[in-house]
Amino acid sequence: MRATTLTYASGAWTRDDKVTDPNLVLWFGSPKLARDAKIYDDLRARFPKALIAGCSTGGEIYNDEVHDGTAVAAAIRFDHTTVRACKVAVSAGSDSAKAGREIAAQLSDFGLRAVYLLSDGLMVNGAKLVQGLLADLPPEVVITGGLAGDGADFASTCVGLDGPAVPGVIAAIGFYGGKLNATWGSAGGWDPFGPQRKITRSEANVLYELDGKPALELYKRYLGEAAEQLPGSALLFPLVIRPEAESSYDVVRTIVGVDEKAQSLIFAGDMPQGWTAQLMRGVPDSLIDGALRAARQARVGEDSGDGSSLALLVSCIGRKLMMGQRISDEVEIIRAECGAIPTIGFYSYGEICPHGFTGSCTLHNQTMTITVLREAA
Amino acid sequence: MTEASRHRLLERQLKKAAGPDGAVDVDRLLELVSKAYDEYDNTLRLNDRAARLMSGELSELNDKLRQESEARAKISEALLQTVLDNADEAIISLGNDHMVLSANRVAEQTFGYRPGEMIGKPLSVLFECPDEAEDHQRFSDKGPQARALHVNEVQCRRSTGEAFPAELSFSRIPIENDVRLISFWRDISSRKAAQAELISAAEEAQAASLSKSNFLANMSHELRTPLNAIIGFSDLLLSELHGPALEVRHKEYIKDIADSGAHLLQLVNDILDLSRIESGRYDLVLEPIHLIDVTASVIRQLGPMSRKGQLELLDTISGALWLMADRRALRQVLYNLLSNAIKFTRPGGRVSLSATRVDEGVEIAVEDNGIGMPRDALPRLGNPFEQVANSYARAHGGAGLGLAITRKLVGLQNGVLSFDSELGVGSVFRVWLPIASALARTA
Repeated sequence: MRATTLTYASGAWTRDDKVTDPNLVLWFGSPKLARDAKIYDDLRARFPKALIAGCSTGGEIYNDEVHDGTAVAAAIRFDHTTVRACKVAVSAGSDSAKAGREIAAQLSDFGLRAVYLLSDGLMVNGAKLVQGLLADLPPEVVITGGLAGDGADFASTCVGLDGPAVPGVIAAIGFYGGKLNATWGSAGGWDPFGPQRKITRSEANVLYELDGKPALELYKRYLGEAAEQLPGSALLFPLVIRPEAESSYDVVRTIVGVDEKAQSLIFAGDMPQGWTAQLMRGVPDSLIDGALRAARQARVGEDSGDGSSLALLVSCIGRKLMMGQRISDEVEIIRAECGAIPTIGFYSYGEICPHGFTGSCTLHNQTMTITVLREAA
Repeated sequence: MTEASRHRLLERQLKKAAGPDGAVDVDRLLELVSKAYDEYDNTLRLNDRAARLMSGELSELNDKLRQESEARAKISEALLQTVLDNADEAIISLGNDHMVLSANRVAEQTFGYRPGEMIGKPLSVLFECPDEAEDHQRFSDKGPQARALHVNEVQCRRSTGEAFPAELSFSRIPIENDVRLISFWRDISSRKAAQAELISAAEEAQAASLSKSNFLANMSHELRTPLNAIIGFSDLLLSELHGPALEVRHKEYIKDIADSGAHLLQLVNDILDLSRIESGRYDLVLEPIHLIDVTASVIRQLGPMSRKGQLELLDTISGALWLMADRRALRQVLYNLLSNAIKFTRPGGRVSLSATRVDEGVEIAVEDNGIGMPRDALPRLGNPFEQVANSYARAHGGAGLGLAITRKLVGLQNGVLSFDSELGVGSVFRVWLPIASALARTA
């Protein structure tokens, strides 16, 4: 396997002849660039035979740097692995679990080892999408990926597969063959604080009330003047939810939308009624420590950086909003831990990766999630 | 400032502010630096705000919890007070120093104190004897394993100095590093008095029964002496050894005297036996006995009587049946039952003796087709002294105390006597006695 990374600057992709005939090209672009068909067209012109998939972001990761307003890409040539992809159209309020099952039906085949998902970030309930996918795929298939971003605006995201990126698309890439090795790591670094609250009213991924009081009101109180930047600023206070106050299983959820009229908050995944929720807050040092833990979990430390492996990073937009200009620290620390392997990634509205505690794939929020692809000799 | 000592954020900002020629755009740099300060301020402000709000929320919750727990405490306090006020027992709680912390109403009434007066008094004032108080104080030093109740009868003292018995139990309540004792006291003076009355009544009854038995034993002895003279001299007269023959009429009178004397002697002997049994002076030796040895001799002895009564005496016992019994008592039991059966069976009738194994014993049955007894008389059959007052027994003469003695003797040999009878059809008496175990037989 050979992989190389490209960036889009001054209206053109950088030239790199390390990989000339890739099977797969992945790209992540700022909302403005992603909506422009040119970045896809340029890639297609250069790699006519490759499978090309990409999405809009809340920020782009290129090796050890974080950028805004750019696009990044990775071109991958597999020696022993075949790739196959499919896409499913979705609209606001459509059945995400059904979309997951459709993807499973299309990709399910002999030798399927891993699935990489790029999904619309606003029209999809990521948790339901993963549930649908898990229901119809063998448990050993590694499922990772992320939900597309729209900066901190939460207005419109887009995803493209073998075509320009458009809203309402889920693209899924299947990796087939016994030599592919996909490893992963995921960690947050946010600290729960304050009282535990009961989810007293919710419907799927819409949260109305905590402890019988409007959830939006609670957020506005904690955000103070930053409430003006809702929904983006709500990412500064994610919620950790657990089935019971004492459960060791938990999952972090962030807000992707606000409904002032219904006094409700819309989350990227389910908020089951009756579960316990607790606010979380972050400080840069603990988030950077979370990224380091994700890197160690992905076990990529021994890579030589010669292009025989590729790291795909999906980090949460909430981390970027919290850390500001210090956001590059989390990418640098992964680089320091993993070595100089080709790395691209994006800031997303939701990360998809196996859960550290249950090992079963789920939607994460507010984490740094790393997928490392390599082929055995 | 050297390049190496610059903060990495500044390093990054310089890089971002650099133009294509490498020269730093100062306005762009200042913009980035200023933005970083703003970000720092915002983070600080947000975290401060979160900390303040959280602490407010938590202390609000804490107040709520405290109020809830106070309300719960009030309820359980009221509950406890109701239990204490309505308990039948005196309930006194003590501190580790054995001083009274609280006492319920019953405790104050029992020990004769005014409300609240017991609080602060040492445990020892409640005991008649100070040593006993110390014993109970030691209970609290036994460590947590001695948490269970222990019940004792103790001598207590009321405030008036009056002593009274009570049942006392303690319960330990370990509270962090301290221990509280809850003591429960029940005044048992009236129960004790009732018990004492019962005991003395029982003793009196026993003494009366013993003197009655002694009296009967002595009386019987006194009665037998003149009876022997009456029977002996009437026999002598009837034998005509002393001289000329008596007139037939006189001979009949004398025979009546002899018969009545014999009857009376039997009655006296029965009374003597019964009183011996009742006063515990009938000594038994329980040993393995071969049943046929006893039945054969009893049958032989009763042969003349059955022939005289012109009835058939049938003995079906055979084989080796070993019983655990007293030889003399068993003999007397079988003799009584068989002679009674013969007595109450008309000429031409039949009396039979049989034995069968039942459980770990042998049931010996004496059956007749004699006159029988009415069913309603059966329940009282075999009760001493009641029998003699029974009009039916009186009418048939001599049935007297034999059955009462028989029942007692069977009981003394760990056996059971049962019977059934029907008027005009006959009677059956069954004696169950334990078999001699193999061990006893070889011994």
